[in-house]
Formats: sequence, structure tokens, C-alpha cells
Amino acid sequence: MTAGMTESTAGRAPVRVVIVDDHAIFRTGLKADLDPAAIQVVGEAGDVDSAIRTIHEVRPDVVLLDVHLPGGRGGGGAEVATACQDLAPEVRFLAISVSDAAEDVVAVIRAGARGYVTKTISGADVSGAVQRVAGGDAVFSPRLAGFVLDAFGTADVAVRDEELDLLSARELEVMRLIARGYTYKEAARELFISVRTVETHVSNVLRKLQLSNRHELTRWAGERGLL
Amino acid sequence: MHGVLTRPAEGRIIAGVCAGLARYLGLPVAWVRIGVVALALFSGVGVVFYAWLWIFVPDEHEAVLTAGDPVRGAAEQTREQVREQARSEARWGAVLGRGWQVVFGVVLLGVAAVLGLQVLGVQVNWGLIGPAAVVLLGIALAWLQLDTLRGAGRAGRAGRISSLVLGLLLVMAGVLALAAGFVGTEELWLGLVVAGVILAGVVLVAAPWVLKAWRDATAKSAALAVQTERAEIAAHLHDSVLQTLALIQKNADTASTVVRLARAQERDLRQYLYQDPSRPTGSLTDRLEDLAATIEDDHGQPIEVVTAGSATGPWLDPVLQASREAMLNGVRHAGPVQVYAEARPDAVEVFVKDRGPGFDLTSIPPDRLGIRESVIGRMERAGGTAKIITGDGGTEVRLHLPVPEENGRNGEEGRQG
Repeated sequence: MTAGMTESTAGRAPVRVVIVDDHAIFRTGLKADLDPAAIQVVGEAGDVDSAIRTIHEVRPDVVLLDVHLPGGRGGGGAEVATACQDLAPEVRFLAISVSDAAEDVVAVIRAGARGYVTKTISGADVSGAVQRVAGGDAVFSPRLAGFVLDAFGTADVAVRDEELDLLSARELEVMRLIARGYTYKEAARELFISVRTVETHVSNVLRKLQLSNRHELTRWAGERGLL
Repeated sequence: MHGVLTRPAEGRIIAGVCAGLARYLGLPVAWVRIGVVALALFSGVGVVFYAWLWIFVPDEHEAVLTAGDPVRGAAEQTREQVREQARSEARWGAVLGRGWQVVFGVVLLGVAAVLGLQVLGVQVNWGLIGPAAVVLLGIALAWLQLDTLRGAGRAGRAGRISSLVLGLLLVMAGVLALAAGFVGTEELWLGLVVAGVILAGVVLVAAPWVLKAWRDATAKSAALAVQTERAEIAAHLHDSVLQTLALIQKNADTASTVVRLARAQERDLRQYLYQDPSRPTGSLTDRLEDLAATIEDDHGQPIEVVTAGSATGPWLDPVLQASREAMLNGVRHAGPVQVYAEARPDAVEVFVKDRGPGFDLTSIPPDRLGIRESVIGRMERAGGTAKIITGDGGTEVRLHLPVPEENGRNGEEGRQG
């Protein structure tokens, strides 16, 4: 994938997307908002069971996944992502939520979602995020970056047992810039590195967030209902 | 595997024990039935097993709470119920609270009466009166615990149960002493055995009913708790969401007002739903969010606040005031604002970013106090720094305030907490 999200869409087949949300009105609104030239909605689902079925049937490039969903075993979006792990890495997940509750967001990220955006995001931004996820990159909203910084500690120097529990100084810097509202491009300029490097750092943070088994991460998420 | 062992309402032959067991174990019902019947035929164990499960496994319906009436009706109804319950509890509490004094008085009166009779020359049979008094005392002791047992905490409960048992023993000792006056020791023992057997029979017959009544009562009080919560939620939604929706309908023509109302309501609802009431208020996060909320309401531009770490204390005032000024500048001249605050052991940093056209810092006239005085000046006086980076991509105000020496420890504690 090339640097900017706009260049990457030129001359490409549209990204095939399934929208999973239990509110039909929100699905309709989101569909209307998405950039039709770059994104093709190939399926919709309103609960956990039908979402798992639909995703296995149509095998989209990206699933826009609501964090809170009825049905299944009550696990919501995280349950869908877990049940579809056999389709990875062809099918990727982007969590979209109105909740902002840290434990919900962290749960769905740890289940394999490649990013998280809030429902108030604009149509252009969500289209960009979908393309970024389709290209294999991670999408961090400022709030998710804030969660990460809060969970992994904001101090640069920290003594931890595992390598996974430690963000490198560079990764912390990137997270901080994203939390401050910088785009990847702006962050790259600020740190005098390429956008590609920023993307690598963000992907690494995502991997650490998903793989780190430090129990504090769960406890931390439980302690903070809302940030 | 079905989560909890219950007796299903449908597909039962006697009491649904086999059906429930089959569902719980994930086996065909026929197998379970055949197994139980076989056990019953061979030794009778099957019958006991069935009866035992019948008693102790709850009915499916007991586990499911009735949903109750629609929210609006429930609010009134529940309040009435709660009030009613409180009233009756208060009444009983008053009576039973004085119980000890009453018992003591009655005992004293009884002793006085007996002594009086003796003085008057009446022959008093102590062998009869003594045991009878002990029985009465035991009964009083046991009954006194009835009401208080329920609401008591774990510690108080143990004490009450032991005095219940003490009362029971007193009654039994009194009755035995009474009986010993009439019958011989041998017959007394025989009678005791017979009484024991009869008592066991009664317990066997009555136990299911008692258990059922107890379960009903538990389910009912749980349902009441749910209703009370619903009533509280209904009241909150009525005061907030419904009022806002009405306002939105009235202002449907002005998009900016609708957006502002919706955002304010969203914030309020979010706080109601996700705020942890046990979390201490007045932290950096809370105060920044409050400031952002007020500015949002006044100017109708969204401000997103993201924080990491936490800090509290009056030493944060300058950085918060400077942040407020920066946010105000952002929404006035640029539009939506992104705020990120980070509390570290050594310092607090706040970044306020917008995507407006930017401005030339040197072109601000000296009499415009806004940026120069209330942001930069304020931070410098507090021992911190303020930097303003502005350009085509918008403006960012960077505030840095070191943790004061005497607060160093507090700051660290706050971060970990």
C-alpha cells in the first residue's frame, strides 16, 4: 500500500464491506455516508449469529463491526470477531462504537479487530479508515490511542516482565501524536519519519495490545468505565 | 449444556426432573428416564434421588423474573410498593425493638406474682412453674429473632442464629422437665423417640412447601429490586432525554441548535450510563471534560477530550485555565477541537489542537490579552511552559506544567490509582 489513503484507491476494485449493527437506521445512514466509488456494501447483519453466517457466506474484505450486538452468547462484536478468526487474514474487522467504554473497545480489539472508530465519525473519515484496514493497516482513533497510553503507562522507561508489555519510545511518541489528533501523515512529518514507518509502529502497538497477556490490561479496562 | 439446572415447564411427566437433568447434561431424555426408573426398581434409590431433585431444583419459571409493567406504570407502582414495605417494616421493627424490655418486664412481673401468692399462703408447685417459665422464655427468645434475622449482616446473623438455637433448647428442656413430672424415665425416652420420628415425617412432608415459599419470596424481592431500578432509570430518562427530544422537535429548523442539544444530551447520558460513581471527582480528566462541556454548550462546536494517567489537586488550576482559553480560541476561530491531556509522575501536559486556518502569532495586537496573557503568561507564572504551533494544518497549543515538589508523591499515587 502506498503512503496516503487517497492514492491507494485509484484504479482499484472497490473494497467489499459488510456492516454489522443492530440498528437498521444506523446501517442505512452509514451506507449512504460511505464513498460509493471506493466501497461496496455487500452485506448487512443485525445480530451475532446472522453476522457470523453472513461474513462466512460473502467473505468481505472488511467488516464494520458494532461493539454492542444482541444474540449469540452475549459477547457482542468481540464474539463475532472471534468466531470469524478462521477467515483471517482475508477478512478484516474495524470496530465502530458509540460506547467509548474502555473494556468494550479493548475486548473487540483483542478479539482481532484492526482498529476502532466512533460512530460520530464523518463519512469520508470512515471510508478512509475502511480502506486503511483493507490494506492491512491499523486504524487508531485518538481515544483508542488514549486507552493504549493509559493502559501501558505513559512513562518512557518502565520495567516489565515481557517484551510485549512494553511500548518502545517511538511507539509511545506515535500513540501520543494520534491521541493529540494528528493524522498519520502529520505524525510522520512531526517525527521526521515516513508514513509507512508510522503505519508499522501503529500495527506493532495493535499487535502488542492483542497479544500482551498482562492481566493488568483486563483489570485496567474494568476499572475505567469511561475515559 | 444448559447453564443452570432447572425443571422445564414443557415436556415433563411428573415434575420435570428427568427433562431438566437431560437438558443440563445434554443427554436424550429417554436415557435419563430409563436410568431413574431402573434405579427405582432395583433399590428405591431412584425414588429418593428423584424426590430430592424435585425439592432442590427450582422450577424454570422461578428463575425467570417477570418483566413487569411498562416503565411508566412501574415507576408509580414500585414506589408505592416500596413505601408500603417500609411502613410495615417500621411498624414491626418498633414492636420487636422493644421486645427485650417487654420480656424482662413480664419475667419480673411473673416472679413477683408467684412470690406474692406464696406470701399469701398459697401452695406453689415449683416443679410446674419453673419449667413453664423456661419454655416461655425460650419461645420469646426464638421469636424475637424472626424479623431481625433477615436484614442483619453476616456477623449479626451468626449471633442471632445462636440465640435462636438457645431459645429452642430452652423450650425443649422445659418441656422435658414438665413431662418428667408426670411420666417415668423409661416412657419418657420412648416418647422422645416417637416424637422424633413424627417430627421427621412432618419435616419430610413440609420441606418442599417451605422451600417453595422461600424461593417465591426470594424471586419476588429480586423482582422488586429490578422494578425499583427501572423506575429510577425511567425518572432519569424523563428528566433528560424526553425533555431534550421535545426541545429538538421545537428547534428542528436550526441545525446548529439541534446538534448542540444532541451533543449535550449525549454527554449527559454517557455520564449517567458509564460513569463509575465510586471514582473520585475533581481529577484532571473530570475537570477538563467539564470545561469542554461548558464550551461545547456555549459555542456548539464539538470538543473531544482524551486523557491518560490521572492527577488531582489545586496545582492543576493554571494549566486547566490555560487549556480553557485555548479551547475557547479553537472553537471561536477554527471549529472542532481535539484535546489530549497526559498526567505523568513528573509533569502534566495538555495539547489543544484544531484544524482551522491558523494565525500569525506576531500579528496579534498587544492589547489582545487572550493568548499572550491567559495562556502563555499564566503558564510561565506557574512555572510551566506554553508553546503555540500554528500553520496550514491548524493550530496546536502545547502546555507543560511540572508537578510541584510537595505534590510529587501525590501525583504519583494519583497516577497509579
